[in-house]
Formats: sequence, structure tokens, C-alpha cells
Amino acid sequence: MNAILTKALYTLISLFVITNYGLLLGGTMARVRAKVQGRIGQPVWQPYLDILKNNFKRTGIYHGVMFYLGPVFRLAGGLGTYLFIPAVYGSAVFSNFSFSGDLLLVMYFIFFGQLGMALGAGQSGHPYSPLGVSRGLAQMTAFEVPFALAVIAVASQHQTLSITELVAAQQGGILNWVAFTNPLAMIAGMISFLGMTMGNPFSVVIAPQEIPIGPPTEMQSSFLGMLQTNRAIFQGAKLVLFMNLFFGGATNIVSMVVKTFLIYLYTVVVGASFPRFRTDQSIRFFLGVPTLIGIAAVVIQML
Amino acid sequence: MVSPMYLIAVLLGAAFLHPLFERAGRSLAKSVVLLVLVFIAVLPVSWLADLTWRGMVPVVFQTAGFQAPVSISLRVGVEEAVFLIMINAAALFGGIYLMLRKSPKWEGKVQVLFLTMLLGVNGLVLTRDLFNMFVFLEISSISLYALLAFTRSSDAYEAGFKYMVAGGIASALFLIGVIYLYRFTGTLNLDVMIAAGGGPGGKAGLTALFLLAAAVLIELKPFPANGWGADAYQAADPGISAMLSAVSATGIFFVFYKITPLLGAEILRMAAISGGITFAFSQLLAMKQVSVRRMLGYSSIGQIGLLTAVAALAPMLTPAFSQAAGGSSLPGGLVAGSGFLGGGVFPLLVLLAGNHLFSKAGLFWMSGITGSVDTGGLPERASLRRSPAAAGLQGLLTAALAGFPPFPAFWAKWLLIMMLVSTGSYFLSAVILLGSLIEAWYLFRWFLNCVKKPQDSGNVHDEEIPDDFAAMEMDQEMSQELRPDLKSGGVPVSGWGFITLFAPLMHGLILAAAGTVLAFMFFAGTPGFALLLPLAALALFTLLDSVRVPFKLQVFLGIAVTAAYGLMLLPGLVGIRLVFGLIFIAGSAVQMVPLVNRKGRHPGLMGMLTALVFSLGNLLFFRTSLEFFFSWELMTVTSFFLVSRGNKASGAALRYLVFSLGGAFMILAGLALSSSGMNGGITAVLMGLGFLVKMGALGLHIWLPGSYAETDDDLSTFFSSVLSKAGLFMLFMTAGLLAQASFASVLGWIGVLTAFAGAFLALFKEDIKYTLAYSSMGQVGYMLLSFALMSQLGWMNSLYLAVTHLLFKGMMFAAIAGVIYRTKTRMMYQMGGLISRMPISFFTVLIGIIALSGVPPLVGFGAKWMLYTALIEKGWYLQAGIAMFASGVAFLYLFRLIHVIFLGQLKDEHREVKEAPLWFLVPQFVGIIGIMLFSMFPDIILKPLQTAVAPFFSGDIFWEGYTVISTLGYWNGNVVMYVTMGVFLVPLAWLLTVQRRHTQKVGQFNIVYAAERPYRPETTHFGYNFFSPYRKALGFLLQPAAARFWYWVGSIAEVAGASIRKLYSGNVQTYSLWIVLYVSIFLLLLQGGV
Amino acid sequence: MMTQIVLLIGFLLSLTGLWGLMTRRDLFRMIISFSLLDTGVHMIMVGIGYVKNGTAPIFDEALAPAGAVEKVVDPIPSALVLTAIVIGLAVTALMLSYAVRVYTARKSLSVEAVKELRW
Repeated sequence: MNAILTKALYTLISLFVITNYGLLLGGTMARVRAKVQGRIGQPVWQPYLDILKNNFKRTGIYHGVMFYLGPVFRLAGGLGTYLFIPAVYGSAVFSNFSFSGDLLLVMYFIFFGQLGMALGAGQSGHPYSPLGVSRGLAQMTAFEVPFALAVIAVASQHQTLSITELVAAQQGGILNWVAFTNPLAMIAGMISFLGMTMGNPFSVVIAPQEIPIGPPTEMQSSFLGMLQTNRAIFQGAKLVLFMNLFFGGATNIVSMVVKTFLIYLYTVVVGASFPRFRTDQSIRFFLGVPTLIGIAAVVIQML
Repeated sequence: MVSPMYLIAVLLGAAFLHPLFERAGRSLAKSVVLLVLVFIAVLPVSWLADLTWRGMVPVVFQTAGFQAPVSISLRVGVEEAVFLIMINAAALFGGIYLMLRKSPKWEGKVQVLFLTMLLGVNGLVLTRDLFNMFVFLEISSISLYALLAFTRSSDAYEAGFKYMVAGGIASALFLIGVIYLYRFTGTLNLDVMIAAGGGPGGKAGLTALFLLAAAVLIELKPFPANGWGADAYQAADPGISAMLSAVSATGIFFVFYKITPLLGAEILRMAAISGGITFAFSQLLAMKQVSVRRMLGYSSIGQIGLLTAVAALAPMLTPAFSQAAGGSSLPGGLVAGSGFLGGGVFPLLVLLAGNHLFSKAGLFWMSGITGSVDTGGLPERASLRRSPAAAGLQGLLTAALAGFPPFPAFWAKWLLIMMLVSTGSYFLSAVILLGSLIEAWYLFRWFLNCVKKPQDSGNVHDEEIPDDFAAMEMDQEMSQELRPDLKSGGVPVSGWGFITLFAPLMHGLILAAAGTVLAFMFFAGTPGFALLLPLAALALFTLLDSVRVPFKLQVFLGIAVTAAYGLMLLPGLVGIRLVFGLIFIAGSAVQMVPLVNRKGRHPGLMGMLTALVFSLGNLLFFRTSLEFFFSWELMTVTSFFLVSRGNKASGAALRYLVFSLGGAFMILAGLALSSSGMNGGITAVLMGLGFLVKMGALGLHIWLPGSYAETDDDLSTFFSSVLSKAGLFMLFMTAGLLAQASFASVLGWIGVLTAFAGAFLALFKEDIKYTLAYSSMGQVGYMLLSFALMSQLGWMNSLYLAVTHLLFKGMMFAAIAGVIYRTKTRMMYQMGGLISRMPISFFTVLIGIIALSGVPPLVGFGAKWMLYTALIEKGWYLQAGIAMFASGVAFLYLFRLIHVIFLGQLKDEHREVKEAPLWFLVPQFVGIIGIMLFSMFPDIILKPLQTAVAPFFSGDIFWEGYTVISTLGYWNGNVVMYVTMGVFLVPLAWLLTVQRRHTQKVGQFNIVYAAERPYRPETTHFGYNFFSPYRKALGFLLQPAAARFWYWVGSIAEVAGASIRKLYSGNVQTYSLWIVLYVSIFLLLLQGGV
Repeated sequence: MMTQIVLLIGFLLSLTGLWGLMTRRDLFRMIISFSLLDTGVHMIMVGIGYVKNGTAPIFDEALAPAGAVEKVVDPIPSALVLTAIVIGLAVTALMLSYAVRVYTARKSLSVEAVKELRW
């Protein structure tokens, strides 16, 4: 009983940290983008304001039970994904529930929230929601290919699928990172990460500048607030995952913050530099060079 | 023993006295004829009884105290008795057929000719004297010539004329041959000649024998000297064609059989080659026929060719029968020189000849009864669908002719291939199997065309997207008015009643009874004869159908007997067999429940279904290869009949049949090779391919989508979730053969590519059933991939997938069947928003797609975890990559499936739709409970599976509480479930708190629509061509390469048939030329000493 | 010698008949050819059955039962020929009647008129 309570407490701490970190990170990056575009940009704490505002809206509408549950699924997906990843190597507080499954569990749990969200948005009856979902899922299957190959290469390199063990294997110096021991896998993985974050050039999925499409189209009030909360957590989870996979993980909060910040910054830099692909173009892109790099990484492991 | 002279005397007397009887009264004459027919059918039975039970020896009877040829000499032995029983039985029913028929009438003259023809044929069978033989041959031929013309059509006269020319040439050859033989041997008696050591020696003697043989062979219509035969079959009345095929041809074949001991190895070899060629080419020719009777005629010619070949090969095959005595492939009674009909080749000939005789005559009659002239089918008003009895009968006869179990030809096929392969005749075996495949193809095509529904084009293999507007309703109404025959409604216009079916029915019963007896014989010693349970079930439900037991009651009974079967037999199983036993039996029983919802009568449905389930179940118990093959073929044929019930399924059913049968033949060849001691790679390849066909592996899958999708909605699930695993089961059973590394890796690649192709093809389907069909294909691909891993985790995963796929695919098919039942459409984009109308179905599909796509926390993830772990352990990294891609694509079509049907905009016409009927929900509940249970406690399924594969592999994984640990990673399904519930419930609670008061539900069109107003649900629902970017990016992969390849293979056969049939110009002089050429080439080759 | 001539004529007749059967375009001529073929075959049979200088197989003063086997012509081929002639007659008659029927139906006696059934 005591153990369970302890675990619950640790979980809350871990979640609290990642949520705030994710929100702040989002705010920071928004400012970075604004600077690139020659604007001042929003305050760093703007995400907090948005969430609070949305949660305290006086009115709200919903289209049905699935619509109501959509954001719940989405947030559950984000929380779960994060909770199955050990955020900080060697820390009892931040090891989360990583004992319940390995890398494969995390990879597949990512779908959980996406599916639920898509279903919820689908019930709204708005044609733009499924349109965005269609594009997003299509793109996702494409970037999953180099990512999967990268993961396979890493797993076979270290003969484990356990994230903790992967991180353990990368300890003892920067040259032990997968990024250096298996650079091809890292490149393939990091290119697919661009797709995963849905920034430019793969942003047509949510088309942030035009008429909104995708799941959030019909979402408002606390539904939208929940989605924004999730965006922060989910983003954090993904960053932590990639950090663990390719960049040696983190042994303390500070190194985690630094590493994840840099990884995020990389997507922002790419996003600010490149125009946008159409969906079919991005599919072909991911199945082209990145996949070949991934195959090369895998083939090297087979030799 | 009753003297065979009575046979001749009675026939002759009745023929002569017939005009007198007729004067006394038509009915009297007919009754006398019938009595005579009964007498000649019963007499040989008494002989057989004398010869077998009473232990008498064969006797030669002479007439009038003289010796043949001045008198008639008749021999009665087992051979003669058996053939006469078959021939005269067919004649009896042939007479009954002609009598029961309303028009044209069976006139007195025709009755006389009928009797004289029988006289000739009976004499042919009985006589041992060559000249008697000539006389009887001419008697039967002249009667036949006359009978051919009895319809008095100019075509009939034409055919008769051609027949006479050919027969005349054959007679001339026969006479010259006989006289030379007489000159050389000084006798005309076969026995004396044979006793003197075969035929005369030397080239002249060989030529004399050759002339005799050539004459008999020509009468047997060898390729290409047989155009006149086909013409006769086509032109004659079906009642006469039946006799031509069943009585006359069989009789003449028996003549050939009789003279084989005389002929010597050279001539026999040539005859065997000629027979084989005739068999193969006749099948090609038959395929292109438009006329039903000509098609059946070619089939007859081919079958007689096969018989000729087998009879000619007897000297070679007989030792094989003796050698096989030790093996398990041959029941003791068939060893040469013992037991059943003397054993050896003769019983084989009896099976082949008898099966052909009864089924072909029956089919000729059916074509006459139903008025089926064109192989393209029947007009709707006469469709066989309107008479289940007729449809069932034609199906039975067709199945018998095609050699499905339990009919005699099945056993004959088995024996023949086993023996041929054991003597090393691989080429001939291949020719026979290919020919049989083509034969099944065109016979079943005809059957399907006769039973298909009017809306069925016969060529539906893919989804058909309807036009936006209902097509030309006006025109349809007009055509209705122009065709008054269509208005007559439910009553068949042709006016044939049940009684007219008597003759073919009797033949069907004879075939079925013979088949059952054979099954008992072959399976002697099998405990409980459980293998025959499918047939018993079929018989039981046919009986229930015939006394009109309500369908709902039948379904309950079906579920009950299936459950009883399971309770009786499953406890005897362990390991992998038990896993599949549960899938086959328990899975089927649950999925029968939705059938209760059907209204009206569905004759044959429950019979076929239970028979299918039982034969699947019997697969689990096989010990010998024959037991396995029997159940396998039974499963094929019963499932084929189930597919063929679909509204537009005839084309798909045909493909299903041809592919299944092709696969089965490959398996048969593999079994024969392995039983002949060849255990090399070829055996594994053949059998593996056969199983892969059944699984629908990539390249061999083109039968799959159509037959899964076009089957009735509530039956599809059996194919997808149960039947598709039969191939997998057999792979497990034969894993020893396939375990060699190279095979395993090939299988693995086939598996992963199948998984990808299935998912990818499902992605672009608008028709929900095609989506599910391709999805099943993809899932089976994963099972194959896992199996091919040949490791503990791989096999566990393959079994795990098989079980869980049954659960989620079964319940999804049930849910979708309910949706289609309510919405009356299969097009997903025509649905939408159904979540509000059918929430339970939605929930089922939701659980189903989460489970199928492998998203944690449901069971599907277990499969993914094991699969990738096993793949990476094995070092199959690229396969793992493709498998992950495939599972991503699967996620796409699954989302589309649930979104387009249940979410989005509800259509106006569906606003009043209700939840699916309770019967559809039952299997869904079962599935959901199963999935939830296995998700929560993966160990309750994984641990038994671990035990099941323990005899083969062990050690790689172990357990720590609920956590399963592999060499690479770990997974605790239990905790994952709790964490997921936790992270789900907390936000939900939050939302419920925050939103308690001020959130309201809004209407369907209340959306932020970019300042526009939605027009109609149809224009607002995004569902059609859902993944267009994907099509744009990767659409080039959609090329139907496999379909094209198989189309090309089929075309080759058709083109071959089309070009060969140009030989038959219709000109009698060309026909004569072919005869002369045939004889000359035969002679040349013989002289050349081939 | 006589036997050889009979045989030769028999073969010639049969081949002529066969040739006529395969080349004449008129149904009646074909039937006549068929008769020739038949007759030729009969002659061959007689020729083969004949024993040189043999006598008819009838027991009378010229032929005592004892030792008859060497002297008589084998009666069996003759019996065969007789039967064959009868059968040939029946077939020819039937052919003729069919030819007539074909003519009434199709108004032609050409062999081209009897090729409705083919392929």
C-alpha cells in the first residue's frame, strides 16, 4: 500500500514537472519563431493563459459522447506515453511506469491518443476534421517507416528493447551515444521526428495558418484546453523519448532540459527554414531518402 | 448362376414383341420395358452375389451347343457383373427419365431402339469372342445412330451421319484386324488367345492387333479423331446423350479393357499416351464450349480417355498396388489379387467409370430437365435457384464428377495419383491433375451460371461503386413491360416438377451411397468414423430441409450439434491442435448465432455450414494423409457452396473453387511424392503452396477478396475468422517439412508482403466488406510471418494472432453485418453518423479496431510486441520494418472504417435506423468479453500457448508475475491496463467537473463551417476516397499484378482450347481425315518401336 | 494366286472407298464410297479365309468327315463375311435415309451442308 502511494506521489511530481516544462517550452519556441519572423511574439507564459481561458469559458458545446471523450483519449494518450518512458535515468521519481513495457509499448501507445482524438473529432460531423486526420495519419504511416527502422537498428545494436537499458548502454561519455555509435539510425530517426512534431515542412496536416483543419477544428472551451495541455505533455514525452533513444538520455533534470530543448530547437530551425510539403509529397519524401538511410542503418546491423 | 442368355433373350424378346404390347396399350408396353430394364439391372447383381458371397467361379456360357463364333459365347465374371450393374442401372434410370418426361414423348419405336442398344452393349460386355464382339458393337451402334435422330432435327441427322461414317471406318478396321488375328491364331476366342500367350508375334501380328486396338480406340473417341462424337453429344436428345456417355461409351471401354491382355506393351503404351492426350485436350476444348451438351460431351470423351489410359497402364500400376500394400495409403482390400473386386487396377477403373457414368448421365438429364442449353446459364424464370432440390442435385452431381469427397472419383483420384507417382509417372500425374482442375472449372462455371441471381454478372471480384443516381429506372420499367415472361413471378414457367428429377436423384443417391461405403472402407479402423460426421450433418439438415423445418430451429440445432461435437472431440486434443480446435469449433458455434436473424427458408445453408465446421474440426484429428486430404477437400467443397449463395458471388465462388482445388491438387501431389519416399524440397514446396493458397498469400490471393466479400454478410465471418486458419493449422502440422531455413525465410517474406499488401489494398476500398476481406488477408500474413520465424515467440504469436483475430474479426464482421442489414448498403461513404443510432455496434467496432491495430492496452499489442521482439531476435530487421509499415497502414484503414461508418454526418435515410438485432450482438458481446479478459490478463492466453509450443521450442521467455520477459524486452499487460485506465479516468473526471453545467449538445449541422452553411449530409460527410494523398503518392503499387498474371494463365488455357477446337471444322471429311491420320501416326510410331 | 488377287482387289477397293469417302462432296457419292470400302473389306476377309484348292465345307460324297479339316475352306470367315454384309447393308440403308432427311431439311446434298455442328 505504501509502495503504491509512493508511486502515485512520484507520478504526480513527474507529471507536474513535464507539464510545466512542456508549456514553458512551447511558449519559448513560439517566441523563437516570432523572432525569426521579425515579431516580438507572445509572452512565454501565454500557453498557461490559453489553457486557463479555455477551461473557464462560460459556454461550450458538444456533438456526442465520442466527441466528449475525444480530448480525454488524447490527454490519456499523452499522459500514458510519457508515463511509460523513464524520463531521467536512475531517478526513482522520474522512472514513471517504464517497468510495465518496453520501447514497443511506447511506440504503439502513441496511437492511443491519436485514435481517440480522431474519433472524437469525427463525431463533430465537420468535414475538415477527418480531412486533417486523413492527412495526418497518412503522413504518420510514412514517417513511422524511417523511425521504425531507426528503432530496429538501435534495438539490434544494443540487443534490447528496454528504454532504460538503452540509456544505460549509452552512459559513460558522449561518444557512447547512439548519435555517434549509430549515426545513420539517428539521422533517420531525427528526420522522422520532424514529421512527428508536425512543424514545417510537414505542417499541412494541421494547416495552422489557414482555416483550421484536423481534430481541433470543432473543439472549444475546456475540450480545447485539454488538448493544449496534452500538446505540452505529449511534446515533452516525444522529446524525452528521442533523447533517450539517440542522445544518451539524461541522468538529471538539467541535462534533460538542455537536451530536449536542443532537440526541439532543431525542429523549429528546420520549420523556419523550409516551406511546406503537400501530404503526398511528404509521404514520398519519408519513404525516399530517410527510409533508405534507415535501411542502411539496419543493414549495417545485419552485417 | 442364372445364365446371361436370359439377358439377351429378354432384351431381344421385348424388342421384338414390343409392337404387340403397344397394340395392347401404350402403358402396358412401357411397363414391360420398365420391367425388362429392372430385370437386366438386377440380374448382374445376382451374379455378383453368386461370385463373391457364394464363392462361385466365373463361367463361360455357350449357346445352342455350338462354339463361338457360330454361336454366342458369354462370360460371367466379377468384372462383367460389376460393369453390367452400373451400365444397366444407368439404363434403367435413363428409361425412367425418358418416360417421366412430358415432351418429347418416349415413343414405341424409340423404346425398341433403346432395348436393342442395351442388347448390344450387354453383349459387348459379356462376350469373349471377337466376332461376337463385332456383331454386338454393330447392334449397339446402329441402334445408337437411330436413337440420335429421334428428335428428328436436321442437326440430329447430321450428327448421325457423321457418327456413321466414323463408325463405318472403325468397323472396317475392326474386321480386318479380326480376320488377320484369326488367320494367325486360328481362333477368335479371347481366352484361348490370351492363354496362348497374348497376341500373335511378329510385325504382321502386331499390325493385326494394332488394327483391332485402333478400331476400339476410335470408337472410344480419341483426340483428335473425335469431332463426330462431340457432334453427337451436342445434337442428341439429352436422354440419349446420357445413354451415349453412360451406357455405350462405358460398354466399349469395357471391350478395350477386355482386350488389353492381348495387346502387348507397345500398343498399350501408345493407347495410354493417346488416352492421356485425349483427357487433357478434351478438357481444354470443353472449357470454350457454349453448348452445355457439347461441353458435357467433351468431358465424357476426356473421362473415357482417362479410363483408357489407366486401363492401358494396368501392367505398370499393378505392381505399385502390391507394393503400396504396406503403406498407409492403401486399404487392405485394394491390394492386387485380393479383397474388393479382386483388388489392383480393376477397382480403380470401376470407381472412375462408375463415378463418371452416374454423374455424367445425371448431368445430361439435368440439362434436359432444366432446359439448360447454353453454358452461360438459364433465363431467370427457369433459374435453378427457384428449385433448391434441382440446384442441390446439380451441385451434387457436379461435385461428384469433379471428384470431391466422398464421391467415388475422389478415392479414385487419390489412388491413381498415389500409384502413378509411386511408379514415377510424374508427367502423367501432372496432366491428370491439371485436366481435372480445368474440368472442375468449366463444370462449376456452368453450375454457377445456372444458380446465380439475375443481378449477378458472374464477374464480380472487386467492389462496384454505384453511380450517383440510380441507373435508368425508366429503362428497367420498360424492359419489364416488353418481357411479359418476367412478370410471371415465382412460378417456374418450364413446368418441371419434382418427379422429373427422379432419375438424376437416383444417380445422386447411388453416388453418395457408393462414396459413403468407400469412405467406410478406406477408413476402416478409424475410431468412431468421425470423419464422416460432416456428411451425416449434411444428410440430417437436408432431411430437415425437405420436411420444411423452420430455419431458425435449424440454426439452433446447428449450434447445438456443433457444441456437442466440440464437447465430444475437443477434450481429446492437446497443444496446437487444441488451440485450433477451439478456433474452429467454438468460434464457429458462436458465429452461427446471427443466422437466427434470417427470415424465410434457406435450404442447404445449415447443412453446408455444419458440414464445413465438422470437416474443419476433423482436420484436427487426422492421422493419415488420406484422412487429412478427405477433410480438406470436404471443407473446400462445402465452403464453395456457401460462397456461391451470395447475391453476386458466382464469379468469386468460381475463383475460390479453382484456386482451392489447384491448391488441393498441389497438396495431393506433395503427399503422393512424400509417400513414395521422396522427402526433398519439392514436396515441401508443393504442400506449402497448397496451404498458402488457402491462406490467400500474396500472389495466390486473388480469389480471396471476392469470396470473402460477396458471401452473404452473416457468413463472411466464417471465411475470414475461421476458415482462413485452416491453412495455418496445416502449416503448423507440416512444419517439419518446411523448417529448413531457406523455406522459412521465403515463407517469412511472403508473410510480411501479404500483410503489407492486405493492409494497403484495404486502404482504398469503399465497400466495407472488401476492406474487411483485405484486412483478413493482411492479418493472415502476420500469422504466416510469425509462423515462419520458427521460434518460441514466433509460434506463440502466430497462435495468439489466430485466436485474437477470431475474436476481433468475428465481432467486427458481426457488427458490420448488422450495419449492412440495417442500412441496406455496403458502401461506407453512404453510411455515416451511425454512432447515435447503433451505439453498441460502434463500441464493438471501436474495441475491434483498437485490438486489431495493436494499440495498447488491448490484446492486439501483445501480438505486436511478440512479433517485433521475435523478428529482432531472429535478425529479420527488414521484415520488421515492413511489418511496422503494414501495421501503420492498417491503422489508416481501420480509422477510416470506423469514422466513415459511425462518425461524421448521419444521412437522412438512416435517421430511423435501429440498433442491430440481438442475434448480431451476441457474438459481439462474446468477442468484447474475450478481448477484455485477454487484455487484462494476458497470461491466461499466453501461458497455455507457451505450453502448446513447448514440445517444439522452449526457454526464450519467462514470467515474473504478470510481466512476460523476452531476451530483448518485457511487457506487463496488466499494469498497462491499469495505467491506461488511470490516465483515462483522471482527465474524464476533470472534464466532467469543469463542464458540468454550461455545456450543451448541438445538432448535426451546428458546425463552424467557414461562414458557409452545410448543404446536405451527403455533401458534408467526408468519406469517399478518404486517403487520396496516399493514392497520389503510392497508388502505383495498386497495379493488380497478381490478378493479371492469373488472368494470363487462364487466357493461355482458353486460347489453347480455342485454337484446338478449330480442328473440328464440322466437315465429316475432315473428321475422317483425323481418323486416318490418327491411325497412321499410331501405326508409324508403333512400327518405329516407340 | 487367286487369293492374292482377291486380297489385292479387296485392298484396292477399300482404299478407293476411303479415298472417295474423304474427297467426294456429294453425300450419295460418299455413301457409295462407303459401300465400296465395305465390299473391299469383305473381299479381304474372304481372301484371307480361303484355303488353296479347298472345297466347300459341306459334308457330301466329296468330303468325308474324316480328314475334312485339311480339305475344306474354313467356314468361319465366310460366316463372318455374311454377317458383315448384313450389317453393312443396314448401315448403308440408315445412311441413305439420313442423307434424304438432311436433304429435305437443308435442300442440299453437299457435304458442306452438314457442318452445322462443329468446334
